Amino acid sequence: VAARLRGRPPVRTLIARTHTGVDVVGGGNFMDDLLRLAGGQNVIQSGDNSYPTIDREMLVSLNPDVILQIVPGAAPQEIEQAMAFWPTVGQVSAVRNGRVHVLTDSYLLLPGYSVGRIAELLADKLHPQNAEKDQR
Amino acid sequence: VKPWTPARLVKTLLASAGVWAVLAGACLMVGSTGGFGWPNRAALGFRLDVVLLASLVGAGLSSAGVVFQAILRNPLAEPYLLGVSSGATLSAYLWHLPFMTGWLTLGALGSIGEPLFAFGGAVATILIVFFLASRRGRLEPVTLLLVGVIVNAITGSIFLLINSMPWIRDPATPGGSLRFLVGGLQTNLTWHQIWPAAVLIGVAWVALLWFSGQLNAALLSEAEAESLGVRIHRLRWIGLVLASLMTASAVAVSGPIGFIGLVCPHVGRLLVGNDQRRLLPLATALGAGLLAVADAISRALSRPGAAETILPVGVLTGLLGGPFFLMLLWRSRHRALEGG
Repeated sequence: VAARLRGRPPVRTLIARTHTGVDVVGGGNFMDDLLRLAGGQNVIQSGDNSYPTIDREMLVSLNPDVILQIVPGAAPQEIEQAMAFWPTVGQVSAVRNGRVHVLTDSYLLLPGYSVGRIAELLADKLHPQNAEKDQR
Repeated sequence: VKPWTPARLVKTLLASAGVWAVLAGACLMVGSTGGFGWPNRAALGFRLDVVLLASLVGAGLSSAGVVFQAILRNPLAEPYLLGVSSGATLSAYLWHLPFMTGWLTLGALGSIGEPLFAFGGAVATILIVFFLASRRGRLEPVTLLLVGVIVNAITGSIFLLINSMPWIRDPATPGGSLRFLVGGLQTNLTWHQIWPAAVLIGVAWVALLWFSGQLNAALLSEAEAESLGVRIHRLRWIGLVLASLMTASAVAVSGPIGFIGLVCPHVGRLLVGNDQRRLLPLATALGAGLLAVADAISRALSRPGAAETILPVGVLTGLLGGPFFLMLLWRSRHRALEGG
C-alpha cells in the first residue's frame, strides 16, 4: 500500500470511531499508523494511544478533507443517526465535498491479522484515483 | 412562610434568570479551541447550542431534585432514586441492537430514535415503580424509595447481562449506550433531536411552579398538611410524576449526570431558605448555570496540553458534587450530635 501511494500528498483525515461522530481516533495507536501508511494524516495530533472525544467547534477548526466514520457492525438505525450529524458541521471540507465515508466492516477497529485489508480500504477511500487506476 | 404576591414571583423569577444569565454568559467565552474570549459567529453557534443543552439538563435535574427532596422529605433524595437512569440506559442500549432494526427505529422515529427510546425506558421504569409502590392509590415515601432502589438494581443488571452476551451484540463494537452509564452532554445532538425534551421540561416546570406553594406543605407531616387543606397524596402523585418526567427528558439527551439534582437544591436552600416558591426557581437557575459551568470546564480541559479530550460532564459534577455531598452528611451528623 505504501509503495503504491509513494509521492502522493497525505490527505488530512479524521477517523470517527462511534456513530456520534465526535468520538475519534487520536495519535499513537495502530489506526493512526495504518492511516499514515494509507496516505493519510491524522488531524488529531495529540496523545499516545489516545481515543479522545471532541466537539463540533474543534471539528470545524480541524477541518479534515476526509472523514472516515468507522462503526463496526452498526445497525441501520445507528448509521442513519450517524449520517444525520454531519450536515450540522457543513463548514467542514469533508462534509462540503461529500467525502464522509461510513465503514461498517467488523474487523476495522481490531489490531489483528486484517490490518493489511484495513490499510487497503483506507487507501481506497483516501485516494480514490489510485483505486480506480488499480482496477483498470 | 411569607404571603406570595405576583410582584414577589416576578422578582424571584428575574433574580433567578439573572443568576443563570451570568453563569451561562461566562460559559460562552470558553471553547475547546483558542483562549478565553468572545468566539467567532460559527463557534458562537456551537457554544450556544451546548450551553443551552447543559442549561436545559441542569434545570430539569435540579428542579426535579427540589421536588424529590420535598415530597420524600429526605434531604439526600435525588432524581435518579426511582430508577429513571438505569431504565433509560437499558432502553437506549436496546435501540442500538441489530434486531431492533425495523419500521420503528428507522422509518417512524428516524434520527430522534435513541433519545426517544431512552425516554420511553425511563418512563416505563417510573410506571413500574409507581405501580409497585402505590397502595390504594397512595404513595408512601419509604416504600417508594425501596421499590425505586430495587427496580434500579434489576434494570441495571439486565443491561449488564445483555451487554455481556456476544451473540446479541458484537463485543468489538465500541461506544453504544455505555456512555449512558456516565452522563455526558451529547454534543452531536441537534435541536431537532432535543426539542421534545425541552418542551416537556418546560411544561412540567411551569406546572411545578404552580404547585410550589403546596410543596411547602409536603415538608410537614401528613396530618399537618391535610389540616392546611393540602391533599397530600394527590400532591405526591403530581409532584413525583412531573419530576420524574423531567428527569426522564434530561436523561434522554444526556445520560445520568450525578449530583446536580442533589447539590443545587441545597445551595439554593442556603441562599433563600426552604420556601419552595423561591427555592424552585433559584435551584433551577443554579442547576442550569452550574452544569453549563462544568461543561465549560470540560471544554477548556480538552485543549492540547491538558486532558486533550472532552471529559463526560458527569465526571466533573461527580468530582465537585461528591465532596459537597460528604460535607452535607458531615454537617447534618455534626448538628445531630450537638442537638443530642
